[in-house]
Amino acid sequence: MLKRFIPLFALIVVASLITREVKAQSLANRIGGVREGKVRLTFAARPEVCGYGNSISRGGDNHVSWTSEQSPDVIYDDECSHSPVRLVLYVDDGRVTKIRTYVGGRWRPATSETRDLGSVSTREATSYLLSLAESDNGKVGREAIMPATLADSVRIWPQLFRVARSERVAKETRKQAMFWLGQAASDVVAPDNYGKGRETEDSEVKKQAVFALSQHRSGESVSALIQVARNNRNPEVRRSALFWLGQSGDPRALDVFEQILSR
Amino acid sequence: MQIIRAVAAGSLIFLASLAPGDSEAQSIARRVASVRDGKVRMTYPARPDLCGWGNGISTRSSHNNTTRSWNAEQNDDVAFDDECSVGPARLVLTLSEGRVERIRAYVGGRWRSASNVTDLGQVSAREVVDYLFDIANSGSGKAAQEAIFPATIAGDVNVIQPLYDLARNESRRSDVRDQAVFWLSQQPDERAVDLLENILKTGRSEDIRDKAIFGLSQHRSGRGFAILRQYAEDNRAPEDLRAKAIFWLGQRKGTDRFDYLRGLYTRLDSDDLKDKVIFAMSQQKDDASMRWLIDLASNSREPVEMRKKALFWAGQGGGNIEMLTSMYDRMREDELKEHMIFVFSQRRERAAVDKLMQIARNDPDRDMRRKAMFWLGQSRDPRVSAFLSDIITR
Repeated sequence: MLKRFIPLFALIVVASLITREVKAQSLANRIGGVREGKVRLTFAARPEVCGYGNSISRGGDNHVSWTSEQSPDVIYDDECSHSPVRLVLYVDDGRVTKIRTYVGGRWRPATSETRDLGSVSTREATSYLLSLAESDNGKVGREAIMPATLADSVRIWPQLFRVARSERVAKETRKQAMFWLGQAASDVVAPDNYGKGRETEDSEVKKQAVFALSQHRSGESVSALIQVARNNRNPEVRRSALFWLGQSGDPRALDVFEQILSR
Repeated sequence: MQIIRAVAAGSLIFLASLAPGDSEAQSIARRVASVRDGKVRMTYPARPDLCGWGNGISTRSSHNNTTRSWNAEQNDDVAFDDECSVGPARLVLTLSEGRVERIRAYVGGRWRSASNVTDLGQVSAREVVDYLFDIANSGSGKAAQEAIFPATIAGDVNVIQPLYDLARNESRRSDVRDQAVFWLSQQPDERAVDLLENILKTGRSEDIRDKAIFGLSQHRSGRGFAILRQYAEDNRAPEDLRAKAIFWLGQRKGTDRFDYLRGLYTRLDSDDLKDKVIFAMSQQKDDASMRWLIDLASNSREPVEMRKKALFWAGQGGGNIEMLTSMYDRMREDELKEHMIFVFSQRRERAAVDKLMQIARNDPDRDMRRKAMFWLGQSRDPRVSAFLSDIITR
């Protein structure tokens, strides 16, 4: 009886993989069909994320912003506008040369050179972005990672670990991947708003010591930070250690992130 | 009648003595003017204390042993067989469209064979000096500046007065006048000191007076320092020039210099000038100066800014680390304590890291603990990693 189900189950797994591949390919194909101009698309953002102008807030004090200029693509009516993620890909001679990411707001009127692909699934978007991170050796590969981390209800870590560990991927892109993996791991250990308003003097001093340790150039600082990230009783201190491990560029940190994220 | 005749004769002799130099200079100028493009060479007697090699000229006097060289490449004009070749000075003028564009001088060696070169042979030192000062006083381009040094290496011609006149010539470019002041300071004749003092006290541009201050500090007689001391205390002189005088006073070491600077600090009203004294004192790099700086940093009657400066320079100048660390515990002002933490961070001694660790662990002020930890993170001491881990896991 069981034997009869095994081929059926395998068929379902293969079919689901093929569907995912086809979807990503289809997004890549649609973008690949554009020779010059901008490509716009949207996908669902994680609920804690909001945007304004050229800035994205991930909750708490965690902001990403690239310029102080007004965004050329999106208009904002609110100071913290949620969902969707808006992606703008700049295409030149059939190649993506720049990626801009926004959250919330509404599109500015499109020019004749803009192609709007509408809303895509988060799975489709993240697969495309992380494939781009793996294949592009320049800044686009680097820029592709952050928007993938904003996608709602999709587990991108396995692919992000692959990017971070691959010798074929550009060093800066791997560092970006590692940084976001560090962020994700620290969010698991203690959310960004953990302990907000009740931070003790002891925690603060210890976090300062973690920072000092991360800056120390003795060669032992990474293993010491790993110890802290794994064993310290204070989640804030562990979070801080994970954050600085994410900045270290040391491959040993990836194993720690993986352990935490795969729990 | 007799007196008038004698005066007239005297004038004639005086004019006659001027004429040959002038006409000789003209004679070089005339001969050079006949060349449109290429090089003109000549030799003239060099000062006996000089020798040359490649692009360098060294002085062999007992007072100092300096080399002036313009680049490390082999020169195209003169070949040298010895490392210190004595002999005539060799002058090479490079002309383009009838204008002297570049001037090079060598001592000793022998001419290399070359084409497109006019050789004027041996000329007198006086003749060449007059010609070169003509270029310095009226020429344009780089050659005007380059004409000065070859004049200073001519034997048996005192160039002090023409250098002084050129330095005072306000119609000339400042780079040419600066060169004149510099070479004036290099003349062993003590009269150069009086002339530099004159430039300092009566020169119109601040730039030339600045150069005179430097020149006075460089004169080998040491007489310039008395003038610089006087100038540093002259309230009518511009403060930035007084500051320069103090700076150069600090560049020579000695007990008298220490005593003078210590006294000067108390006599000055300007904080900027006091700051310069602190720096000058730090340049002495001896125990007495370092102790003075530490005492100043500890003195609560002094302004905090001065104390911070004294502390900084005591730290940079190698002030005794035990004295500095024990001072931290006596210090009451947060601003100074913070500054001391930075000073410790810049020192390489084990005792400095020990002190930072002590502050990071035990200081009652959390900000000081944080600052000490920050600087520990920047250190290379292998003990720091374990120390910080201990603080984190405690």
